[in-house]
Amino acid sequence: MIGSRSATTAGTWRLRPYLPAVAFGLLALVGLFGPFGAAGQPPAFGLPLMGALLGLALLPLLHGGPWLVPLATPFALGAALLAILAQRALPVSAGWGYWAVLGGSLMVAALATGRVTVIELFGEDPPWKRRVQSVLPAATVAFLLLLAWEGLVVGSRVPKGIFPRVSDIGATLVSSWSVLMADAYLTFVREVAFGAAVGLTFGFLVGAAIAFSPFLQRGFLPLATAFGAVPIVGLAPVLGRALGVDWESKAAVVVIVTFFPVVLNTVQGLTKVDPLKLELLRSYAAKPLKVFMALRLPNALPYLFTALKVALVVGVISVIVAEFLIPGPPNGLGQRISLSAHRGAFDVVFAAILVSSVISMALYAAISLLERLLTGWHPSNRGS
Amino acid sequence: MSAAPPIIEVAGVGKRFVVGKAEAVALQDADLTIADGQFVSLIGPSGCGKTTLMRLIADLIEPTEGSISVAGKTPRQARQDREYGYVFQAPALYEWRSVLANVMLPLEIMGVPKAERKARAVTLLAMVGLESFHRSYPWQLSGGMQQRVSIARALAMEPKILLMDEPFGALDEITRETMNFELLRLWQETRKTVVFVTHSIAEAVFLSSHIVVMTARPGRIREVIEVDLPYPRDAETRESERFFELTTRVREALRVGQAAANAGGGASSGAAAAIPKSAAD
Amino acid sequence: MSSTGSSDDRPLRRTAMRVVPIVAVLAVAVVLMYPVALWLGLPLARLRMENLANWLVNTTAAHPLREAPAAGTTGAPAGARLTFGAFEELVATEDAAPVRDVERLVLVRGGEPVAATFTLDGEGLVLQSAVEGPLLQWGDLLEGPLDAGHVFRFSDPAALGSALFLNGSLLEAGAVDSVERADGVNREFTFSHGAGPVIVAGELLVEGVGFEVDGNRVVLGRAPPFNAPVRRISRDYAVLDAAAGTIALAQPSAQAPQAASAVLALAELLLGGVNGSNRTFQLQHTPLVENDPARRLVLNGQELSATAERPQERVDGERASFTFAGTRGVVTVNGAELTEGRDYSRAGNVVTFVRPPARNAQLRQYQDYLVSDPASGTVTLAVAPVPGDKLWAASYTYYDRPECGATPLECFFTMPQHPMPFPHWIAQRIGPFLTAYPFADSRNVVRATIYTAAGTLLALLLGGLVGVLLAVVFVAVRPAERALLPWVIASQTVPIIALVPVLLLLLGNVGVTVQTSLVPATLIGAYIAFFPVAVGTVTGLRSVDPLALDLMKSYAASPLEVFWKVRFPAAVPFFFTSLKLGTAAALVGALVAETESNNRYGLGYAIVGQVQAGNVSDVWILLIISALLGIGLVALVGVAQRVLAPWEFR
Repeated sequence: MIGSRSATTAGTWRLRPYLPAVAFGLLALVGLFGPFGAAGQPPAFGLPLMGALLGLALLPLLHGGPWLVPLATPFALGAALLAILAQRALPVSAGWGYWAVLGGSLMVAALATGRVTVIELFGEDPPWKRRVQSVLPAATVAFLLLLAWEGLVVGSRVPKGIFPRVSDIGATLVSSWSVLMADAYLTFVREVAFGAAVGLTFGFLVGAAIAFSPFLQRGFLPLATAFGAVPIVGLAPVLGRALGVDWESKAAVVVIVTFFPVVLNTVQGLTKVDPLKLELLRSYAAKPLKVFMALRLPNALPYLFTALKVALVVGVISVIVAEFLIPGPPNGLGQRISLSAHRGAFDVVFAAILVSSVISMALYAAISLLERLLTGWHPSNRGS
Repeated sequence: MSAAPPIIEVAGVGKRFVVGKAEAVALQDADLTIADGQFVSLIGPSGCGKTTLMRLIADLIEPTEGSISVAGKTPRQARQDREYGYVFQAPALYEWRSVLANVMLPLEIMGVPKAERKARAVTLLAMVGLESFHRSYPWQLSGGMQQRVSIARALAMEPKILLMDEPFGALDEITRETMNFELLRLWQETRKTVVFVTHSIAEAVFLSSHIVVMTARPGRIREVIEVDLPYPRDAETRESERFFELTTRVREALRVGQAAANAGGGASSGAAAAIPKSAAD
Repeated sequence: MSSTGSSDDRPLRRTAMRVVPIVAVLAVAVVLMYPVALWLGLPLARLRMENLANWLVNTTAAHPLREAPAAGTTGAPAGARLTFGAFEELVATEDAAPVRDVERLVLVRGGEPVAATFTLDGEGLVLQSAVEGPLLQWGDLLEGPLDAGHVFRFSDPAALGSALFLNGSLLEAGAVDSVERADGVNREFTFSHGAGPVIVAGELLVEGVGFEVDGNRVVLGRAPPFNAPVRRISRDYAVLDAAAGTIALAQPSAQAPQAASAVLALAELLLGGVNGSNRTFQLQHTPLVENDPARRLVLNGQELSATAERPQERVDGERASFTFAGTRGVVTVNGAELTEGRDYSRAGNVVTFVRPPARNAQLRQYQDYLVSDPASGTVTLAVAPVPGDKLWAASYTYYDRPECGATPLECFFTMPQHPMPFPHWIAQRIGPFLTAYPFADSRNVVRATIYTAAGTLLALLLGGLVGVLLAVVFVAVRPAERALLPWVIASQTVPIIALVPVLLLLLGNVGVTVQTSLVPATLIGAYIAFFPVAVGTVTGLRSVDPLALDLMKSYAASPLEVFWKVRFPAAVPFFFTSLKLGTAAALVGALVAETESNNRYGLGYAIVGQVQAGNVSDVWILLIISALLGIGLVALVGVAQRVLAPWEFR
């Protein structure tokens, strides 16, 4: 009997409530009883449902088991969402009840997720734990940010012209989808892709030429670092004047802005070669062209990918600045943002920004994937 | 040295480097004749010019005085005709090529057609015991295995001479002994002339038919010791009396020779200038 | 090989080896700018050259005798040689044989053709038959000189335009307008040709007194008022004030010129067959200026009228008969000439169309003639001249040649603004541009640079601070990094530039006057800079040698001590390196913020202002300044690193 008792694993039934999260959960519950409207109105609907969600969230928190606590997150987020919807239906700005529910449930979600990230994982733990630990926090933060944004804007009844709601941005995204896609095509395919391609090709050729001459290296590289600092703000209008206001001038901005990092990286990649590998080829009496193709070029590949990533990031920023500064036909994401901002249509602004970001991230991910495929041999990609 | 025809002749060779304002003498008055089929070790302390001598033979640098003849040609001509294979201290494998592709590299440069160079590479890898690693990449192999690939690659062009610059220096003792066996086996199979630079007296005595003792400051050849241990050599050879005698003799030669060099024979011009790291060791 | 040479030519050689390549590459780049400038500018120059609106306009008239015969000689015998003013304009020397030239010209006097046959050679006209009647009749002497010898006046201002002779020679009128418009401030003007005194709005300026000549530019003593016409006399004289009847001579003269009336003159015939049925003729100099008030075509002695009549009735689309005032003329519908008989029939002053003209079509009847095509100079007469008639042009205006020059290259150099200027022009502009305003004035470029630099430095401070704090949080609190880092990275893909308008709006609502505040630039620059700093500092804080950490543990040091003594010093070089990386981008952010917020104290405003004004050279100078500013700021960060963290060299 004593033996069977001691056979029970300690902790299975012992409760270790996760107190900070519980405190916020209770705060949220209290808020349910308070006014949602500044003038004292109760929430428009959903009171029992909110209460149920919060209760469901509190259960794992009270239990405190480290892998159960994060279960509170979706419930807490759900409660916050309901509160926002309920507040939206009211015609007035928010009262303390709303803020208590919103703030409390968001904090519960944050803390519950945070709890999982500090758990030490060992080698024998099942892989799902590792996956949860790496994915959950980032995902939760996304929802937290969106709900907090929406909650703040809805609660304080910010006029649409000042700051749009997440829902408004979403609606605009859907309704203006084709326009935004056309803009994105112009900006990313015509201007960024074309400009970056030209900049990369030209930069690579010039870099390859420079790599052959130490004289040119000593002359060009310090200047390239200096020229890279020329702000696009001045360059864009000059190019606009020279090449007209259509997409060519903006592509030209991208060309110039990507040219210098590519040259720098190409020269580095082609010249920073392990001397032993060079001597090896010398011992084979290999011709310079063969040395270039067999050694310098593959060696330069990682640097070229760095250059490609830099080109993407810098190119996108430059193209948007160029579209701001070179007035032209109202196509292209930058123009769209500029025009909408001046008109006060900030939901379009944010929708365009969102499109731009997503495309940039997708391109970056694609380049990283390509990099891993082609330069999997490089130490940085082996995780060594 | 013996009745076999000489394949490397070094006559009055000297090499000086200019470092900053000072001049360093890496090698001075080197005279050496190596006959075909011999296994010759160059041994000596840091700065004795053994690596310099090897690089001079390989036409990776040029002598400031004297002349060298390799397989009856100038070193440059020998390099153009690919008369030797060079094995560096580090494997110097190309990380973006598979093991097989790395061994095929010299064959590509020589213009050997694809099917043939693949066949030769496969044979060479089998010779060094790496048959099952064709598709592996260098970073997936251990240090010893990488050096074996390097050796296979050096043999790819079927050179008459193998120049090896401390190829096993980075390996641990146990692996090094294994590699020594492998190398001797290869040498017996292929009967090339090997010039081998090493720090290790035991390794020199175990592997070579002749040991060139060199001293530093300035780099000079002090003595050539003939190693009369019979081939094939094995673990027992290491424990034999004669082995011990020879290692002692080499050690003495090194010590005495260096003391003599320090005392009188040939302080270099100016203070002891550091020789550029890439030249000496 | 012992080392030779003295010990101090080594550093010199080393410096030379570092500097010479940079200078060489810079020189090549500057040299390359010339062909690029040409490549970009020549197409625009060509467009400018081909645009008729930029052409010099010339009014041709009948050209009078060059040499006044003594006191109006009556008649000239056959064989006499006569020379006329501006003869070369009339005679095409390249292609036409003398016979054909004769068919293009006619002698006229007082508006009537003079029957005479003649031949032409390169210098003048040789009469083949005698000319009857006086060759010229003298009019009044002009009054004056009204000043030092240039200005004279017609006693009757209406006589302005009659031929003037001085000392028996014909004076030819000519003045060319300046290339630049008077803007009230500018005192320098360029003229495409002409070498006489300058006339500003009716006032005569003499060289050396009222203006100085500098190359092909004229520098006036005083700036002419806004939009005042600035001309330079290009021939013998020019009209000074038409209402007062004053003229100005190019060369001063004590003697007054004398007007002459009824001078024998050589005039252009219109080209085309005079055969009784042909009604289409061509003027010799094309293209014609449309709406030319000076156009006077004369048939024999009768001036033709160019008036167009409208019908009395409305063109409603159904009506086919229209009544005009005149009983003859060229009928056009919407500018296209219609043929009598085929398209319409005429009964007196009533014209009946075969097909009614479309509703609201332009219906006109040209009494005497109509210019069908100004580009080719084609004129259609209402009535065909019969053989023996002389159809000649008393005067008309045509586009002579491009104002800017004869070739695209010339036009390139006279362009006021180039898409890309030549480097030496930019260099010349540096001095004037930088010193245009005193330092205390906010428009001074150096002051604006300092302002923007201050904004960027504040941005770097703020961004650096936030970055470090974020890095510390990331390192100290593990979950923070896992949760936030992906979003921090994502935040960098948001083009911050796009958020500038939003930010400005928010700041404006909060009460910040964005036009005069450094806050927008600081915030934007800080946003751009904080990310690389955060990432770099995290790497730095983590880059600690594990052995060093173990050492601190063995001393039982507190976490704060560990941080301060071990992690922080390791992170400092990473911090500064990443701060340098973020500097250039922060500068761009600050400039964009200034531009969007119209902050007139900053460099961004100056750049936009110069761009809108079209001063491309100044924009280039500002670009160079911005680049130097970026480099300077990076160097400043390096200096800060030396001062704050001297234990590292980089």
